[in-house]
Parts: sequence; structure tokens; C-alpha cells
Amino acid sequence: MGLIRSHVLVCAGTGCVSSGCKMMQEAMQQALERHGLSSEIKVVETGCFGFCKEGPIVMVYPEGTFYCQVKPEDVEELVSEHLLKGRIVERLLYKEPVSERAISLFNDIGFYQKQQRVALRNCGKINPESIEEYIARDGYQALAKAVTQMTPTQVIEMVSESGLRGRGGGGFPAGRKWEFARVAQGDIKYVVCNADEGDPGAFMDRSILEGDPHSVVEAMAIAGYAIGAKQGYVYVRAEYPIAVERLSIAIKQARELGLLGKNIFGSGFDFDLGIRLGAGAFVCGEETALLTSIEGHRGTPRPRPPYPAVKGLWGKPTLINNVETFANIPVIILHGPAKFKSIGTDTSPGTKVFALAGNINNTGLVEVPMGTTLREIVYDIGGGIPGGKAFKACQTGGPSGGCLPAELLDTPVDYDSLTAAGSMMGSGGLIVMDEDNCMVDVARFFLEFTQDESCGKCVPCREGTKRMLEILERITNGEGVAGDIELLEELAEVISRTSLCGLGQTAPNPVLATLKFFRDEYEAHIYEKRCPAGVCQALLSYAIVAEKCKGCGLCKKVCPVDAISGDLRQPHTIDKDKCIKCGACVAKCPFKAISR
Amino acid sequence: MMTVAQLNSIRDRVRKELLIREPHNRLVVGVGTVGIAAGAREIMAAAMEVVNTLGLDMVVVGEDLSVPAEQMPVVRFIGADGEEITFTSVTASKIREIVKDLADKVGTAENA
Ligand SMILES: Cc1cc2nc3c(=O)[nH]c(=O)nc-3n(C[C@H](O)[C@H](O)[C@H](O)COP(=O)(O)O)c2cc1C
Repeated sequence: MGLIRSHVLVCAGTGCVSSGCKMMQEAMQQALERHGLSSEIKVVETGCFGFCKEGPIVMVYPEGTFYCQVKPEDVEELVSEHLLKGRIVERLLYKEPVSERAISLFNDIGFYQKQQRVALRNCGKINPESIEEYIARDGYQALAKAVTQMTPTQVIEMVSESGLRGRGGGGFPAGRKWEFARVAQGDIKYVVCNADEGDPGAFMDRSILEGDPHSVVEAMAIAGYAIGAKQGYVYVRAEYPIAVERLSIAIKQARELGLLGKNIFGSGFDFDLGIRLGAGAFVCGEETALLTSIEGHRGTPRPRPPYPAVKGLWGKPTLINNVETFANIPVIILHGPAKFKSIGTDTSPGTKVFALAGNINNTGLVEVPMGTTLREIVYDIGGGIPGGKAFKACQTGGPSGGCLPAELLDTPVDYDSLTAAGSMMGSGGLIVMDEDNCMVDVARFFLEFTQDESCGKCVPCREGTKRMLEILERITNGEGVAGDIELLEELAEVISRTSLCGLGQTAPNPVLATLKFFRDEYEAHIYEKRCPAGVCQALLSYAIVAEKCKGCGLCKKVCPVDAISGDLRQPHTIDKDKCIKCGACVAKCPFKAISR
Repeated sequence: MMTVAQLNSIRDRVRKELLIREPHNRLVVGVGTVGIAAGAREIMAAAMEVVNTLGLDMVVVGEDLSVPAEQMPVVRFIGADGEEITFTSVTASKIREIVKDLADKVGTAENA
């Protein structure tokens, strides 16, 4: 036919790559050739659709049919049925968990209905390796407008007016930071993008770089124009190879078209970008440590002030913003601050991207207007808790954040409400926990992380997190003593107050937040030597409740250490000396006859 | 160096290609087994050619439309506003006329 009538978009984000999209895509290309369709149907690689749990994801246009978990062996049917004969392949559609209803249009899926995509506007819509597709969706128009029609001050006024706050965790007003960098004295200035993304489980920034790298390139050029910088750097962890590759391609393409380089749009403004790879230390996401790392030194923080806007990279004024912060910039410049402010809340305008993880049906990446409640995210978008379990807590803010209990599910998600409730926004990790999670163990987990990632430069963080971790380990091992909680609180207070950087200052947060809402669990561990959620092994004691046991013998069969004995149809017993508390018997018992 | 005019011309050209992903007006050709036997693939090719030549804001879609076999090949226009017109027993030469007649209604991709 020669003319293209259909685009088949295949998600090529990290999530779908690991669930095998490449093999499927190859199979697709072969099937199209077999059916003589390769000249009329174009297969396009895109960035993340967000619904990673359902990957590999395939979207067929113009119909807009959303296919999930497409494997190489499904491809023949997809091509011969849908692409040749126009029949939607029902079995590959997304099925609503409760009603089992198959849904073909992605906007009809609950997961997407409450989402609003601003930062992720192009992810899953365009080929991230094609600058032309980015341009077709108004890409580089904001840069053109800024450098040809606006003064740097006007650009900054627009950013300030939008109320955009930093998405990297702190929530500092972007416009104010840009203004500080603009007025700072210096012949050379820099723009830096923080793509270190160190929060465990977070992948918002990775998805933007993988799915829409040009949005960051464009925004950084706009920032360069606004503050008077000619050079920018993106600091990204080497563990993000796909993001690094797509970003490199984007920079190369932008240079080739003259959208980076000398005299951009004939305005006399020059700007270029480089990529610097980080080795994945959490502390290197902290802005001063990051700049030190770019300079070629070991990534450790230094005291602020002076802030980077005044004295940053190589001592020069430096504007540093997060990936998602930058991704919002072209939209603000192009459509104006009023439109941006119409989304979200008064003090937190716009949207926020979250990486939804933990005990939740729909894991993945979601972008919602600020002010959406946790309940809407967990139940309407996330599809609730699997296995009929009860919701226990929502962890936001990663290792610097806290856990909010069920009573606070109606908290709106914005910077101020989350802080007021006792947690924080952070960079967008959102981990849902069900009744089987021990909150003391959760606090121990996060402290283990920060203790491990502490760079060791300042004493409070290096020694303090270690002491706190030791206490938490004691408590979860059943060796907690009276006074431990108070000691934790005292240490937390000193560490937050005296640490050099945000890592130490916020490291105690997971402990303080769990103490605030789940103090009774700490007390049960210390005073009753009991783990209410049944997680802390040292505190568990497995026993069979004779009245409930039917003597079916299933537990005996599954026990790996032969600790269970008993005759058929007679109550069984567990030898506590042999028991290794693995929990296999509990999982197997059909009568819930085993207590711990 | 790129000028704003050059940027706009790339945008306008590629935007037309991307209409497939955000279609306004659709011309649905019945391509089930019976449709294909009755010549639906040739009709589809002819329709696409005219749409392309005239640069229309319309995409051509294959779908298994259920109509009595004697009415095949069948083509259905679905406008951006939801308007539907069904054409039965279409031939390759008829479809060229049909698309030309729809041109005013759908407008060009340029102005989409
Ligand atoms: C321990 C620590 C880790 C951090 N990690 C990141 C990170 O991975 N990505 C990020 O954007 N900001 C991170 N930050 C925040 C940065 O220091 C800085 O505030 C941010 O890059 C500013 O950009 P924004 O204003 O656009 O949010 C971290 C801060 C601390 C204290």
C-alpha cells in the first residue's frame, strides 16, 4: 500500500524491557512481514505507559486499543486478527479485577481515569528517539518563545507566577530559585538537572528521561536563557542505561538541528548540554554532594549556605532542579501560568508523578493533580489491596518520609498537607502496606538504608544512624528494653538538628512517623515480646491450636525441617526446638489452625 | 541554525503523520474475512491514497463490520462529532468519489 494506516506503539521503558518487549517487538515485525503488512503498519517504540504491572504493553492506533502482557506467541494472533481483519483480540485486553470486564480503550481503565498527564504528557505517546515527533507535539516551541519573544526576567516571572515547586523532594519554589541564580554575580553559570533518583522504588525521573528526554533538554535550555548560563549538565545514575542512551540521542539530535549550540533561533543565545554519570549513591542526590561528584570528587555534601545558586559547580552560580520540575517548564512557558495553576491546589499547583508500589493491585507510575487524596490513589487508581487484606499504612517520601495510617487516607496529596499529617511528599515514592507489615520492621528497613548510604562526613549522621539502627535491630530481635523508645526519640532529635545535610536531617523520620502512629507496635515488641503483624521472626512462636486442627497432615508435609508430628485426623504439634519459623505451615494450613 | 519557521514546518508535517494516534474523523472499512474476499483491501488502499492526496483530516481504519454479506464491501464514515454514514457495496472507484465528497466535511490535516 505504501501509505501508513496504523501505528503500533510498543512500550520500551525499563519495566517493559525487563518483561520481554524486545522479543515481542521482533516477533511483531516478522509477523507483519509474513502478512505483507509492513509497508502499511509502523511499529514505534515509546516510553513508559505507567502500567508496568501489565507489561509488555502494546497500543494500536488509530483505534487506541490497549493490549497488556503481550508475549511473542500472542503476536501472530494480534497481527492476523486485529491488524489484518480489524478484530480486537479480547483475551489480550486489560480486565477489570472485580468485574472481569475487558476494556479496550486505555482512558476507560480505572488506573488512568483519575490521572492527568502534564510531566508525562508525551510518555507512551511519542517515540522518544525522534525529535520530530517531539516537535510535532509542540516541542521546542516554548524555547522558541522564550528566546525570541521574552526577556530572561519575563521567563522567570512566568515560572514564579505558575507556583511550580521543586519535585525533587524539598518543594522549594522554582521561580525563586531561578531568580536567585539570575541575580547571582558570575561570568560563568551552570544549569544542572538532578536525575540521581535515589529513593528505593522510585522511577518517575527515569521514565521521563526514557519516554520524553527532549522535554528536559528544552527546559534546561530555557533555564539557561533565564539565568544566563551557556552550559548545562544532567547528572544521572549509571544504573539507568536506557535513560542515558535516550538522553544522549536527544542531545545529539537537538545539536544537529541547532536547538542546542550557538545562536539558538537566531537570538544570540548559546547553550549546550552534557551528561555526567553517577554511581548510584543516595547521598549524591543531595545537591551539594551531586555538584561535588560532577567536579570529579567523592560525592559528599558541604554546608549550605552558600547555596548552589550563589556558589555551585566549580564555585560558579548554579541552578539545580529535578527532572520532573524541568519537565513541567515547557508547558508553563507555552500555555501560561494560569493554565498550570488551574490544576492542583493553591499552594501546590500542578500534578505530581508517583511510583506506586507495595501491597497494591495496580503497581506502576501515576500522575495525579496535587490535592488528590491518598484514598483515591490507593483505591481508585491503585485498585486497592490484593488478597482481601486490610490497608495498614501508606509510606511517602522514601527514606526521608513517613507512614500514614488508615485514619489519614483522606489526606490530600500536596506538600503542605502531607507534612502537616506527619509525613512528606518527597520525590514521589508511594509504598502501600497491608496488615501483614510490621511498622517497626519498616522503620528498621529504611534506617538500614540511610545508615548504609550515610557518607560518613559528619558525626551525627554516621554514628547516630548506626546507634538508632542497633536499637531497632534489638527491638525486632526481641531484646528491646524499657527506655529504648525514649532513646530513639532523643537520638532522632539530635541527628535531625545537627547533621550536615538532608540525608542525616531526615534519616530519623521513618522512626518518628511510625512512633507517632504505631507506638503500640513498638511497645508490644519491647514489653510483650510480641510482633503483632507476625513479621519479626525472633518474636514468633509457632503453635498448633488443637481445637482447630483436623489432622490433615499438610503442614507436616510442607515443613522443611520435620518439626511437625501427629497422626492422621489427630491434632498435630510443633517441636519448637526444631522449628525455624519459616511460616510455610501457616501458608499451607486450610483451617487457620496455626498461631504465631 | 534553525528558525522558528523551520520548526513550525517540521511540526506541521509530522503532526499530520501523528493524526493516526489522535484521529478526529474516521473512515472505517469492513475488513473481516467476507469483506476482504469482496475486495476490502483494495478499497482501503484506494481510500488512503485519496485521503493522502487531498491531505484530509481523516484516518482509514480496518474493522470487522457486521453487515449482510451481499452489502459487502462496506465503508462507514464516523465524523469527529459522532456523525455516521454507511456506504454499502462499495467499489474502488466509488470509494474515491466518497472520499472526495467527504472532503469538505472533514477539512484538511493542515488545519486540524
Ligand atoms: C539525601 C538526599 C537525597 C536527594 N536525592 C535527590 C534525588 O535523587 N533527586 C532529586 O531531584 N533531588 C534529590 N534531593 C534534593 C536535592 O538536594 C535538591 O533539593 C533538588 O535536586 C532540587 O531540585 P528541585 O527544586 O527541582 O526539587 C535529595 C536530597 C537529599 C538530602
